[in-house]
Parts: sequence; structure tokens; C-alpha cells
Amino acid sequence: MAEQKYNIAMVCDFFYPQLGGVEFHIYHLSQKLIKMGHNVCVITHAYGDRTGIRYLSNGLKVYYVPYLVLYRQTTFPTVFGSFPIFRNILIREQIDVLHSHGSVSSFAHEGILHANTMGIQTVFTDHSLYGFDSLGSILVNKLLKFTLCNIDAVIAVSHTCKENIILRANLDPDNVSVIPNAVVSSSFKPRDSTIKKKSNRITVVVICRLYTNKGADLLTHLIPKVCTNNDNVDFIVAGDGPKFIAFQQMIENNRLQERVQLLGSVRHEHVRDVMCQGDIYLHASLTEAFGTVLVEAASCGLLIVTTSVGGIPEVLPEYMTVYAQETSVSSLIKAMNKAIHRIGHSKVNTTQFHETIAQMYDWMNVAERTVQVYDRISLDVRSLNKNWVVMLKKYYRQDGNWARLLYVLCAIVEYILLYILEILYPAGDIDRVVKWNSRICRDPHI
Amino acid sequence: MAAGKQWKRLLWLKQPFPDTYTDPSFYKQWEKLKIEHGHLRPHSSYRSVLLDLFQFYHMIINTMLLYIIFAWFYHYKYNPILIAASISSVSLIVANKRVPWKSTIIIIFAMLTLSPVLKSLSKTTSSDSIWTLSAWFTTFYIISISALESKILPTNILLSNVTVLSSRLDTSTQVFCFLLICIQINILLPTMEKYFIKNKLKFLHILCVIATHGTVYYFITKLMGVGITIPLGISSLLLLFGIPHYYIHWESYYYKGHPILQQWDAEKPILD
Amino acid sequence: MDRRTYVYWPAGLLRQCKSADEPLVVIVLKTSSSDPLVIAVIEASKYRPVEKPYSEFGRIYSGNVNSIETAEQWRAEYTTICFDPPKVKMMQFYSLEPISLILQNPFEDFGVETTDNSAIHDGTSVFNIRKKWESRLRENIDHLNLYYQHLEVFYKRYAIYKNKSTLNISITDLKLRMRATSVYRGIRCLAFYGAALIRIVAGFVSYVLNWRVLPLVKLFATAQQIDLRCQQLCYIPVQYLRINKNVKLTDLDLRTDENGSIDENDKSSGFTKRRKSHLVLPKALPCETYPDYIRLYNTLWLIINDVSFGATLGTVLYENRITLAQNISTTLKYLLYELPMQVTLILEQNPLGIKLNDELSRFLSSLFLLIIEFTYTGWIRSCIEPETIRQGITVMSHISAVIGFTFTLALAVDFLWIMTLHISLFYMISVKLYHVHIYVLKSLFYLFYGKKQNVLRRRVDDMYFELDQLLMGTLIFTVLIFLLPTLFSFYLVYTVFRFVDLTVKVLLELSLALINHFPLFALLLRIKDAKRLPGGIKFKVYDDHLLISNNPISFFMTFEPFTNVMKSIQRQMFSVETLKMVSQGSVLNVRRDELYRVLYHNLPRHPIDIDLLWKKLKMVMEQDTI
Repeated sequence: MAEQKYNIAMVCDFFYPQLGGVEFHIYHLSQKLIKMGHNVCVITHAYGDRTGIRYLSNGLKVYYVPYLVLYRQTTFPTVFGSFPIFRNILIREQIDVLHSHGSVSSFAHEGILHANTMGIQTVFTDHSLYGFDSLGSILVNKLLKFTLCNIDAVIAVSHTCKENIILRANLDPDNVSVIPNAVVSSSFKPRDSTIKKKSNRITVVVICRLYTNKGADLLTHLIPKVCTNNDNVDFIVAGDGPKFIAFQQMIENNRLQERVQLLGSVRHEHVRDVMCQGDIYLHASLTEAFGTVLVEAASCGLLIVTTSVGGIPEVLPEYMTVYAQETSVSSLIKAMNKAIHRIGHSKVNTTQFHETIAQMYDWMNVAERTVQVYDRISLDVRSLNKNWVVMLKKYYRQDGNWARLLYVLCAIVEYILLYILEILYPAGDIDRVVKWNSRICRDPHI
Repeated sequence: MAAGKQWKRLLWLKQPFPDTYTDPSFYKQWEKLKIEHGHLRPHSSYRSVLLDLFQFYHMIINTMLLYIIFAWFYHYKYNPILIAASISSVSLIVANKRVPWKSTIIIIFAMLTLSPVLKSLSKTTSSDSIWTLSAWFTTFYIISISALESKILPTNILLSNVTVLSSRLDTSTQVFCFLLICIQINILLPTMEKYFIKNKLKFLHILCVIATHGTVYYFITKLMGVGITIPLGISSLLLLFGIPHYYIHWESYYYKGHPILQQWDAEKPILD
Repeated sequence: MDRRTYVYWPAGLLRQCKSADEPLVVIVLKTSSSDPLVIAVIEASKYRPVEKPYSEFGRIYSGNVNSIETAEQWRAEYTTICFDPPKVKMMQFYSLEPISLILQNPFEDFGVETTDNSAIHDGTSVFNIRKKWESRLRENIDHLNLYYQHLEVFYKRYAIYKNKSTLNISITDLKLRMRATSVYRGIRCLAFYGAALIRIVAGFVSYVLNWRVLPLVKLFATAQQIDLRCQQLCYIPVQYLRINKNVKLTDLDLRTDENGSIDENDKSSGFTKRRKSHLVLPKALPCETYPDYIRLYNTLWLIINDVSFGATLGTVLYENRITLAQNISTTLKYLLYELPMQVTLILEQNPLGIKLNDELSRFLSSLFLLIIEFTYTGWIRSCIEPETIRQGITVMSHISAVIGFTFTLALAVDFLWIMTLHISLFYMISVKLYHVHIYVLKSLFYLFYGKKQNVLRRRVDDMYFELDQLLMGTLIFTVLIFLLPTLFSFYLVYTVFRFVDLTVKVLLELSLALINHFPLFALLLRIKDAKRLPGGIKFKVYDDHLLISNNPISFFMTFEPFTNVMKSIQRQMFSVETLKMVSQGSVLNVRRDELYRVLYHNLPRHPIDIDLLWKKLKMVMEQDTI
């Protein structure tokens, strides 16, 4: 059978012009899928005056839907509010697979719900870990249970992330694939090895947003201690966040102006340059699903010192990393000392890191594995999957006496809405778009 | 499928397993979790919950002392100087090491200067508004003192409360004494109790607790009669012993510190 | 270079060619940096070869303009661009940029644009190419403007082609004859000394008003008005010299300070560059003085208008002076004395059930009442008596009839300013109190949270405070919080007063500015002959060739200084920013000098140096006599 080409819609609240892990994932994955001959469009909310339809490189079409932004670029969850526009876009683009990203993105959830109602295959990728203890995560988990109830496939970025989402959303483990993130290794090349470093100083690079859950408190306690213990160690801290002032104060109180550089936020294209100034990359995060930045740093030829939380131990081979056993300052200092010793005595050869990483993580590989997921769900001849009654039953089988009634109610309202929309804006009246890539021809008769 | 090879929990390794392969050990954990749900959940001991709750109750009683002192001045028109002097001397003896002289003097003089101003601040506001305001201040005080680590905000709220109330008093002397007593009681009493607990002076601590509770209940009786005190006391006792049960019942739905589930929580930073 | 050749044809010649039967030779003017411009069409029989910069473009047979048999150095591909030769004597001309009606660097917009485009500049060469094309186009436009001069020069060199005299000698003759008479000489002499004297007197007055120690201009609208007139008087001779005698007097200090420095390169691409041209060709481009011409006549016209306007309104004022005086007196008394008094008294007694602090409100209201009483008995009462006002109106109506309505308006503004002094004073007192109050509250609020504002680093630091500091801070904070509503209500009331006061004054001053700077002349020119106010060029496709024509400046642009002023006022008084300022307790003010500075654009900052003017005038006098 010839390889089937899909029309894919990526749905997420977070996309360019905002920059971050999820955003890059969607972008690179889409680019590679386009390269493989699929059609991809991205649906996200409007960023400032960036509304309407824009094209990014290689005809990646982005729908910036005007929507109310609630908090940190997450849209206001309305359940049904986005249905008309979603229906229009999905019909217009003749979407086969709707691929949502990120469990805190309400756009992603709504997209899944609408696509299910319209009988379109749905895939969800989770990028982060969530606990079970805080009020916020309980709410997110309830929402996940609702939307992922009728999902066709789920993708997790690491095994830890997979187990996490299975427990959170009560999923069938066979339906959850693990496909890690990747890096564009060509943009994370190590520094020119012909230029030898003159001094014997060791530079430690930290690049993260300065939030508590990224280990900012650990770092502010750790940096002065490492500096006093090792005279030949300098730090470069890049990133911005609420703890920025704490870092400033740490530098001033310990008089480390000469040794700690605080760069503030660094543009993504300059991250490599910052990384290449260092020998060791320090990561003190308290929770992490995958840790793309670790792979990037290793690709730049840095030795990684990191806490071993979440999916981090799965990401890199043992010889590239020094793990701190627990998320404590003392444990991290121990790991730092080990790493400094290794670098100082040249016990580790970081020159081969780049090649190795390039083989391990590649977006093309990610895209191929993702397409396998698409193939699997479209091959599955469980045509009853998108039957409304079957879906309703699934909603009703969820636990939680009140929650499941609410789920069913929402679903029924959604079905009624679809009928109303069909009357108001018949699907036949919606223009079908001309695809960017003429190689794809969906209709077998032509 | 590739039975000879052992699956490894690694992402960087290209393994001959499908992407949907699930760690067998995870299945075990999951099974365990399903069975365990609702049954063998570890819960806090009744005693510790009770003690925690009692501490909260005790704090409310301590806060009530402020109103008792206010009632002395406002309702019974006791001589403020006598009470202030006696409490001050007690506090001097108890805490002369902890609070430096300089700040004591500064505070006292500041209060002396400001007490006429404080008295007139909210003179035009009606008494009912003042009582409402004060009730809210007390609520916020109790919430903040039990929820926040820092002592700065609770102290400030307390002081605002005292300032609001002081406008109902007649003379500047009363205002000054009221301020003085309230600050001393609310700062000294907790420090004293902490000191007792730290040095294992259990007897003294219990005595102190009984004294405060006794005072509060005595005044309630005196103001509102036995008819109010007894139901109040019984209901507070019932709540005191009843709420821990309720708490433990709901704790089974609480996942914090769960041996399996907590592995996905964000780790606590240990700043040693 | 592979690009099309563009040939500029005067519309008249084109028509002439079409009607002719015999073969014609087209002679063009071509310089290295411009496209060919058709100078003349000569019958082939009369033609003799011409020298550079003229050359033969080709031959036309039987009036078919579209199939010119081009000479060998021209490539066959060409496009004809037809144009109406602008009559420079009639002050018509083409220009790529809109003519500047205010005195500033005419390429200010252009300069800004180039800095914007610098990003593109780095990346691609598209911008470079564009720039080159633009400079070529500019050169071409210059030649179009000078078409008649070119023609004249051409005929001078090749007199044989000339068919008839185009110059009207008789008028020139008459002028010369007139200049010889002694009456003319006497008048000219008088004008010469008059101009110098006016320059000295007006310059001195303006200098006194702008005196650095006590800049009266900034205080009084009247002073400003006088200063404006003086500066205009000083500038008129300069403008006259520039327009009629083509004497270049640099305007020292252009008022371009707001726009920052303008890149030298951009300047050179403007008018200044135009002067570099071929030696043989006419170079002075008279259109450079046209904006000056418009400005000068606008000024003169406005002054005359102002006086005639003033005469009319002055009469009206004078005739109704008794009723007017009575009404104004009662209104002012109510607004300036009774109303503030009432409001202050109400504020003292817990208005609208708002519980204010007794002591503070009593203190504040007695302070303000004292000020009201003081100012009222001090000067307001005597000033707003009907009799005084009647006399004032009489004086003002006379002034208005003699030197213009603007002076009356300016006097009214100043009168209001003095009368509302106490309201300004209230406002200043309450705004200062409020500002300090808010500032202290903010600092103490940080202390409340155990934080401190770091002034040096402009951030909020964590800070550990001692117990006594904390308690003191909290005590003061509580006191201030309780006093805030009282202070705020006073502050708000006086802010409203101030706001109304400012609005009235700004409205008056705006009308003053409108009468002083209305672009009347430009508007009339725009209606009469739009070619005299070019705002760029446009190309139209016309049959088989392009037609270049003028794109006159829009009506909106003639009012640009006003829209700027309106925007600035709107920003200062009616914006969210204003609300923010009010809540923060910053002083609400409309800077009059700033408001006016835009309108002073028609004048140089300093009047011309007396010596220089003297010399130039003398030079002109001597030239004339010769």
C-alpha cells in the first residue's frame, strides 16, 4: 500500500511568536511532516496584532484565531465557544488528523472535543508532568479525563511522562506512545575545537527560566558555595523570571560580580553561543518531563550536571551526565565537584558528544514515528470509535458521580451545536482550500 | 519480539520495541494502586490532627484576649494604667533579654505621640462599621498567622485592628495603654509558649494555656451569662474532637505524600 | 545597464510633432545622471549638428511620434513620459516631497524613513537600487522644473532655431524707467531705514520678553503675542530678500530640535544637492524660495485679517459693554469666589455621608478658605467689579480695533490666569500633599511586606526589618491609610476645578493660535492653482505614453501643525495617561510654550543678526542703483 498522506491540524495555545519547548516541538515536527509530503496547518490563538492566517517556512499555514487570553498565553476555556471556527477550519482544510499539544492549553482540549464530534481522528501529545496534589493539577487532570476519553492515540515525550498521563487520564497503556523531543543538531554545534581555551578556568552555564520549580532557589544557594570552594569556576546564568532579583541579590551579597554573569533572557538563536562559552551545563529543575535543553547543551559539547527528576535519567547516556541524587544543595554540590574534577583533569571527552547526539535525536525520526501513530489510528477499523453513542457511553463510564454526568451533558450540547451549525453554515458552503503542496491529491477519482 | 534483549528505560537508545511498549514494572505498580485505592491509604494519626487543631483553637482564644482588654476599657471603664503597668512589668521580667531596650523605648514614645492622633482617626465612622472592620481584621489575622511563614503581615494586621478599635476609647491614655497591652500580649504570649515548648516545660505551658482559656471563658460568662458559655464551650469541644475525624475521612482522597503517586510531584528543594 | 530609456516630452512639443508633416529632428538634453529631456523639435531641413549636452535623439517622419528613428547611441526601447512644463514664473513646479509650509528641514520625513529602512538596507541591495533610482528621478524632476530656462539657454546658443522672442521687454523696460525716478528712490530709502529700525526695535522687544532671568513669554499670553508679532516683523525683510532678490540668508537654528539631528546624507540628497549641476546649464532653482513666499504672504495676510477681525469684534464688544460687564462680573464672582467657598465648606462637613477625618478636613478647609478670602479681598474683588470690567472691555475693544483681535484674546487669557491664581494654588497644595502621602504609603506598604525599594537599582529588594522599625512603620501606615480618603476627596475636588480651568484656558489659547497661524494663503493657493503646492508626483498611463503630473498636497497636510497641537493636548489632558497621573499625584499641566512651539515653526528661533541684515539690504540697494 502506498504511503498515505494526511492533512494534519496541530492545535495548541502556544506557538510562534512565543518561543518555548512546546512551540519548537510543533514547529519542527510540522516542518518534517511537510517534508514527508503531508499537509500541516497550525491552529492557535491570536498574539497581539498577529491575527488571521499566516504562512511560515515551507507553507506551514498558521491560523491565529482571535480569542480571549486568560493567563500566560492560555485562552479562556469556554468548551463550546471555539466550535464554529474549529468546524470551519477543519472542514476547510479537510483535516484527517487533529493533533493537540500540551495539557494546560485549553485550545488543545477544545480542539479534541470538536474533532471527536466531527468524526476526525485525534492525537494528543503531552509535554509536561503533573502531580496529583495541588488544586491546579487536580483541575487539569479532571479536564484531561474528559477530553482524552475518546482520544485515538496519545504521545508522551518520555516514559515517565507516559506513566504520568496514564494515571492522570486513566488511559489504556497500549494507546500511549513514547516519542521523545529532538534537537536541530546543526544549530547546536560545539565551539570550534581548533580555538583552544587559554586559561584553565571552568565555566558553568545555566539556562532556564528563573522560577521556583526550575530550581532557582537551589541555584541561588549553590552558586556562592561552588564559587568559594572552587577558585577556577565561573558561572553564566541566562534566563529571566520572578527569581531574577534573588540572583542579583545573591551576586551582590557574595560579591560575585566578577565570576557570575547574569544575562537575563536570551533569544533562542543565541542560546548556542551562550552554551558554547561553557564547559559544564547545570540543570537544577525540580520537575521535568523531558529536558530538551539538556540535549541541546550536550550537543554543544557540555558536560551535564543535573538533578535526576522526572524523565531526565532517560534522556542522556551515563557518560555525558553527572546526576545529583536528590534535589538538595549538598547533593548538587557533590555532583558539581565531580564534574569539575572530570573537566579539570580531562577525564571526559566531550568532543564526540555532538555526533552522538545527532544520531540519537533527530526530528525526522520523530516525524516518522509520529506518522506511524497516525497510520495506526487510521488503519484501525474500529469505525464505531467516533460513533456518538459509543463516545457517550465512554463518557458515562468515567468515575466520579457528578463529573460523568457533566461530561455527558457537555457532549450532548456539543452534538446539538453541530446540528445547529450545520443548519446555519452548511458544510457544503465552506470553501475547500487549495493545498500548498500540489503533490497531495486526496480524492482518489482525480 | 526481540525476546533476547532486555527493554531499558532509555530514550536515547534505539530499541527493537514498539513506541507503545509499557514497562512491566509499571503494570505492577498500577495494579497495586488500583487495589489500594481507598483501602490501605496511610492517614495521619488522630492525635496529631487533634493537636494541630487545638493549636489553631488556642490561637483564636489568644486573639480573643484583645477583645477582652478592649471590653475592660470600653465597657467596664477600668483604670488602664494599672493593668498596663502590671502587664508591662510582667513582660519586662519575662522578656527583657529578647527585645532590645532601644526599640522598646522608641515604640513606647512613638505610641505616646501618636495615641491622640489614633484616637481621632476614625472618630466620624459609626461604631457598627468599626466592629465590622475589626471582625474582618481578626479574620485576616487568624488566616495570615496560620497560613504565612512570615510574622510581618500578621503583626501589621493586628496593629491595624488595634488602631481601629482604639478610636472608640475615651482618652489618649486609654489608647496608649490599650496599644501597649495588645502588643505585649500578642507578641509576648506566643514567644513565651514557644520558650516553654522548647525547654520542655510542659507544666508551665499547660498552665499558661489553661490561664488564657480560663480568662476568655470567664469573661464570656461575665458578659453574656452562663447560658451562652455552656453551649459555646460544648460546641467548641465537639468541633475540636469531631473535625479531626472528618479530616481523616477526606484524607483518603488526598494524594500528597502518596508512596507511588508522589514520584511525579515536583521535588522540594532542600536548601542545606 | 539594462533598463528602459525614459524620454521626457513637453506636452506642447508632442502635440506640435503630431500635427507636423515633414521630417523632424528631436533634440534632447542629456546629462550623465539624468534621462533625456526633449528640448526642441526642428525641421530636418534646418537641422545642424549640436554639441553636448544636447544631442540628436532621432527623427520623426510624418508626425508619427511612436516610431522615432532613433540615432545610434540610443537604444530602441524607450518610453515616452509626457509632462506639462511648469511655469516657474507662475511658481509652479514639480517636487517629490510635499512642499513644507512650516520652517524646518523639508526632508525630515524622508530622514525618518531612511532610518527605519536601515534594517532592510543591511540585508538586501533592493534598498540601494531604490535609492539610486530615486536620485535619478530627482535629477529628472529638476530638469523638468527648469525646462523654460533650458530652452532659453538652448536658444541663446543656437539662435538660428529661435522663431520668435518670448521675453516681454516692455515691462522690464518700464520697471527700469521707474527705478530711475527720485520718488522711487526716496521710498526705497525710507523702506531701507524703516526695515532696519523695525528690526532693531522689534528685536529688542522680543529680546526683553525672552529675557532669561524672567521669561515673560512663558508667563503671559500677551507677552507671547507681542513676541510673535515682533519676530514676524524681524523676519519679513529676510523673507523679502530671499524671495525677490534671491539673497541667501541662512536661517540660524532651524526649529528642528524635536526631531533630533537629521542625517547629513539625507540632507544632501535634498535641495542642497540640486545646486550641483552642469556649469553650462541654469542651476538656480527658484522654487526653493516658494515656501518662503507662501509663508510671508500668509503672515501678512493673517495680520491684516487679524486687525479687520478685531475692528469688527471690538465694535461689538464696545456696544454691548454694559450688559457684558454686568454678566461677566456676576459669573466670575460666582465661579471664582462663591463656588470654591461652598465646595470647601461642604467638604468640611462629611459630604455624601463619606466619613472624613474631622481634624484634617477642618485644617485643610480652613487653609483653603483663608486663601480664598485673601485672594478675593486682595485683588479679585476689585478686579471683577462691573465698573472695572466695563473699563477693561472698553480698552480691549480699542486695542482689538488697532492692533488685532489676537491681543484682546491674549489679554483675556492673562486676565483669567491672574483671576484663577487661587485655584492653581489650591491645586498645587493638594497635589503636593497627596503626592507625598501616596509616596510614603507606598514605601510603608513595602515595609508591610518586609520589602524595600532599592532606589539605585530601581527594584524591590527583600529586607529584614527590626521590630521597632516594623511597628513604627505600621503605626504610621495605619494613620496614613485612615487619612487618605479625606485628602483624596480634597485633592479630587480641586483637580476637577483645575481641569475645568485648564480646559477653558487651552480653548482660548487654541483659538488664539488658530487666528495667528491659520494657513489661509496656502488654502487659497490650493484652490486657485494646485500646481503651486506640489505634494509629490504621479504617473498616469495615457494612450501609449506616461503622463507625469502634480499631486497637490492634501488639505489635511496644510493643517498639520494644528493636528500636532491637538494631539499633544489630547495626550496631556484627555488620555488614560492623565488619569494615571491624577491617581499618582503628579502635577497636571499644559505647557504653553510647548503648545506654541509647534506654531512658531514659521519663524527662526533667533531673529537675524542686525549687521548682516544691514549689509545685505545695503548690497541690494547698491545693486539696484547700478
